[in-house]
Amino acid sequence: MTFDETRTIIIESLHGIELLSDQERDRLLGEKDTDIDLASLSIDSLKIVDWCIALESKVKREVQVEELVENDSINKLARHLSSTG
Amino acid sequence: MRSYEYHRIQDMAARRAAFEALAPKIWWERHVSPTLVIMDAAVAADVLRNPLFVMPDLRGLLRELRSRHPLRLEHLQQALELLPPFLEGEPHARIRKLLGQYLSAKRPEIEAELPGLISALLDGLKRPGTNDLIPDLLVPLTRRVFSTLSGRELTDQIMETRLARIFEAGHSAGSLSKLEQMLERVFDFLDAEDTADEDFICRLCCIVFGIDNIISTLAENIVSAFQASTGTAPARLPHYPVELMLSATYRRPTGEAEVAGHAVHPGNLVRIHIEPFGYSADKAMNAGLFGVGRHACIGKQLSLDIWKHLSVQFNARALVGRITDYQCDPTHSFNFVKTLKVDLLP
Repeated sequence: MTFDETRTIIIESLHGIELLSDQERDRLLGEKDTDIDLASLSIDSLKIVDWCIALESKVKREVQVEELVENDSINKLARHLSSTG
Repeated sequence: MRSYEYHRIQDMAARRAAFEALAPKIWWERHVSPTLVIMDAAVAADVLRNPLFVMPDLRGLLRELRSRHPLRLEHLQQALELLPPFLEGEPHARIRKLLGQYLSAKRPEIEAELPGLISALLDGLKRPGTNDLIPDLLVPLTRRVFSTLSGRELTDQIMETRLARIFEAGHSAGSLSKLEQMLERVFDFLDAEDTADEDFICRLCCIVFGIDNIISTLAENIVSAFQASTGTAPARLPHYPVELMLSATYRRPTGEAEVAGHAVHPGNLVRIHIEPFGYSADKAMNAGLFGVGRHACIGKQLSLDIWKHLSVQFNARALVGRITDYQCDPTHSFNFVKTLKVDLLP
């Protein structure tokens, strides 16, 4: 899976669990160099698991919460997940 | 340096030097969710004793998740109704008491076994030669102890469940599913017909809390001993363990709180590092390695029995050698040691 595909999955999955608004999703999908810190999304423990479940179903592998902590922006996470497929 | 990067430093002297250099020893990390990191033993002890701070609510999380996702996690759900760290009030106190009595009753039998068992295992090490101290020493030692505790010889599968991960703060669907598989295996192994049976609860607690902790805690201290010895000086284990497999434990505030001048709000996490207890010059503080407050380790005395017999016999053999391969699977809370190869001199 390419970086762009993975980044799209991440953005769509965050939107799917209502951590990104429609406008934020559209802006991030349209501006490929734009990045946001995951910390700015105020993710709580339940949302993290929801997000992992959404991500795992799309990237077809287990996603550890630690991977989200260690790659704490959308683009960093996309790079990580696309390189470790 | 981020807190989880710190605890993954594999050279123990470097880790300790990094700890000494840390200033301040309490700070916020805001990766994904806001977390107050505590690397000060006295402040950590205060938080662990404070009833306002509770363990992350895995039971509640699971309830919510199961109402929203088609996850089959029956064994995990059952285990969370039985394991003291996830319980409050009377059930918490009752099962801790039960487990304490169970371990006390088993202790003489284990104490009687330990000297001969450890002696045979240490005598079996190749000198000179390369030994992987995980399969050659620590797994058989731990298997024997926990076979006695659980009343059945533990299989390789049970030895490898890594159920300690149930205590981590962050879980994903994948990690919960893995825990479910492992717990199903353990329930089958323990012939769980009646999960309210007191004997079953105690045996389950022993397997979940004990196996990984004992193997990796002993391994981490042995690594430290060999790393600290130079030339022909033998590796020596200290009188009291310094390192622990558990690097950090998490708590969440149930109301507005203040920790060493930091305002902590509901929804924040507090990451309490354990090493500062081991590094403290205050001997009373060292006991904090086994936890403080109502979630302190119930198996502390048994762990110290194992430590006492192993350290005395290990030191008596004056083992000289160097580590040639040390691999662990670090998580944000634990260091699971997989390989510990040591070239021993005659």
